[in-house]
Amino acid sequence: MTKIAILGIAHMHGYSYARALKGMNDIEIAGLYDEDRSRMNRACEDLGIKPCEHPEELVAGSDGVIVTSENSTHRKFVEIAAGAGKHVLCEKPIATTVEDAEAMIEVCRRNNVKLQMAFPVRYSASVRKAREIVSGGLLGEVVSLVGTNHGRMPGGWFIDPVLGGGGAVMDHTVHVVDIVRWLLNCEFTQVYATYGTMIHDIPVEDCGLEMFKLSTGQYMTLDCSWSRPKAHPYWGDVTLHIVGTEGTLFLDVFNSKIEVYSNEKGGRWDNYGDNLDSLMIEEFLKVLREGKEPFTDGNDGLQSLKAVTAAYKSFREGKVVEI
Amino acid sequence: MHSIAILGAGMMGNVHARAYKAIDQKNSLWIVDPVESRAKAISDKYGATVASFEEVLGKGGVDIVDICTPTFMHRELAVRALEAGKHVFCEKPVALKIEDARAMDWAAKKSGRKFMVGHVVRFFPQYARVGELAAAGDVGEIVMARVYRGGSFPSHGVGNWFANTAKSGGVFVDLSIHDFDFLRKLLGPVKTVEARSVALSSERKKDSFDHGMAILRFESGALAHIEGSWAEPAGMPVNFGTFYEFVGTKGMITNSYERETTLRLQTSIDGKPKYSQENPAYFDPYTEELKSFILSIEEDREVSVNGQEAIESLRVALAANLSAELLRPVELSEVF
Repeated sequence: MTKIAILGIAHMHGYSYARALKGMNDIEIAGLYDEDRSRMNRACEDLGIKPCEHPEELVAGSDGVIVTSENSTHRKFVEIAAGAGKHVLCEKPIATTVEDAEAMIEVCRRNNVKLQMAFPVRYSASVRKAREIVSGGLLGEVVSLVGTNHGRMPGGWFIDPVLGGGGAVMDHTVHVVDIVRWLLNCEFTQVYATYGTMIHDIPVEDCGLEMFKLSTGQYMTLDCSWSRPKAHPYWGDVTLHIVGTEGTLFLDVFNSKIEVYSNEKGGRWDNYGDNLDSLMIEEFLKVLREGKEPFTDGNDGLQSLKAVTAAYKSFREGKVVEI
Repeated sequence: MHSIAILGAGMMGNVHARAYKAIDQKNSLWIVDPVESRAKAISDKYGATVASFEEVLGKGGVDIVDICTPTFMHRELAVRALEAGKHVFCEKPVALKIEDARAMDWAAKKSGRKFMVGHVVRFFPQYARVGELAAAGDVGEIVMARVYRGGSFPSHGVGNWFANTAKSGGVFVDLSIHDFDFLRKLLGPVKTVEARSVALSSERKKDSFDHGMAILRFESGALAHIEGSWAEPAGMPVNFGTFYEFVGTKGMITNSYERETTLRLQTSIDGKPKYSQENPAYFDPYTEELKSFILSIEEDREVSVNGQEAIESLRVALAANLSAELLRPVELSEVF
């Protein structure tokens, strides 16, 4: 029986991970800790998990830890896990500052703890296939890329400049950056970003566009906007148009959908594709049980965060900046 | 009834000849093209009289000159036609340089003749409808746009002139200018452009290749992402398409060429598999565009896309080229 502790349930992905764990064999969710007691109790009731008052005790009695707290508190919880020598799966983005991210990687390294980053998109079969297509040379030489990660405006702590560390740019840059780093085996070297609070009356940006340069020479744009209206039939998307000298590829990760029309609930798209959260959690269990290195690790979290913080700097300075 | 001289018997020359006949069978057409066989094809199909540019300029009966030649020839032809007292319709892009476009606009003002530029996307119903919906306010104020326009490289140009950026201006100036024009009309003046493009010569890819990405910030604060592509492989079953997404404060409007198709045809004749998709309609945007031009002549009204508007749209495309060249964001005020 593998025991998993959950620290923080601020991110709705925590619910998804908990449900994925409950569907797996030989898994026990040891308990949930959240600084916000009412949020903790509500989640524990919804998910049928034991609430815990002390994170250190909870971690001590577990084999692995999942951190799904607010972005700015990831560091604190990863340090608790690492201090107890437990491997961690940490929600994205890794942190809100590069300093925090580096400290998290270091504390894990010092304690011989593996840090897996929750980049579920990289676990998609379509992303894997795209990588095979690109590395197999079917597109010739890749010359430019156009990405999107649209979503709805999430509200709550996501729009708190301190807890979230920013808005749409912080929330929706890292997934596409991560898959492109893996697809092309590259790093992101430069960025120009422009963004604004365009749609909602909130204290952080809700729309943004970025122009990146990659270490492999290409340019890539990314639309990281929370621009899906409430009326939209689906939460958002992750797409990537890859243009090569011999061909082009359009990747639309969440397009495995059926359309549902309900007189009571209106229209919506329902995704029937692989559950990427489950695939990612299964990988985390291999890290715990087999000592496997994480497929998406702390460095992946750090590199994608560097792209984000550079994007903010670019907008403040109104120019292209180095990452 | 008008007497119209079409300059250039390429793809657009054919489209315009058909449109003028659809507007009024009695319109008499003249066709000017250095390639005799191309001129003859239009002459045979639409009853156009083959002539030289000098001949049509000298004919008092010819009241309209319609320029469908490669872009780099626009200025000279337009200015001379306007000076000869003709109304001029000119295909987009108006020119390759602002100074050329200004000279054309100035010649029009001096002559007092009508001068319109072919930003036909404004007449496409799926785009015109966006303007109507925006005005109706169903989705609130439009604050963000994503547009795509692209397909395989236009290899039909005479002497492969599209591949020569000195003659065509590349994908931003020749193709994405449609979107720059539409977005400007919808969202107002552009402030900043950050763009990159990859134009590969035929050495690296047969039939050439061009792909561009541009990020626009408007004076209003609105943002837009424009992708223009001549990068799809040649010979694809669907060789051209457009996509748009307009996000408002209360909703969004989106459309894709993948969706807007009323016919999908698959055949295998003599063992040759073939796929095509179509959305045929009786409404023809090109006819509508030229009808609007003719009405502005007959009723002595301002044309729907005048020289000044074409210059503004060209400025955005040139700012994109400049940004891609300098690898930095460009203020529109830098392009004049």
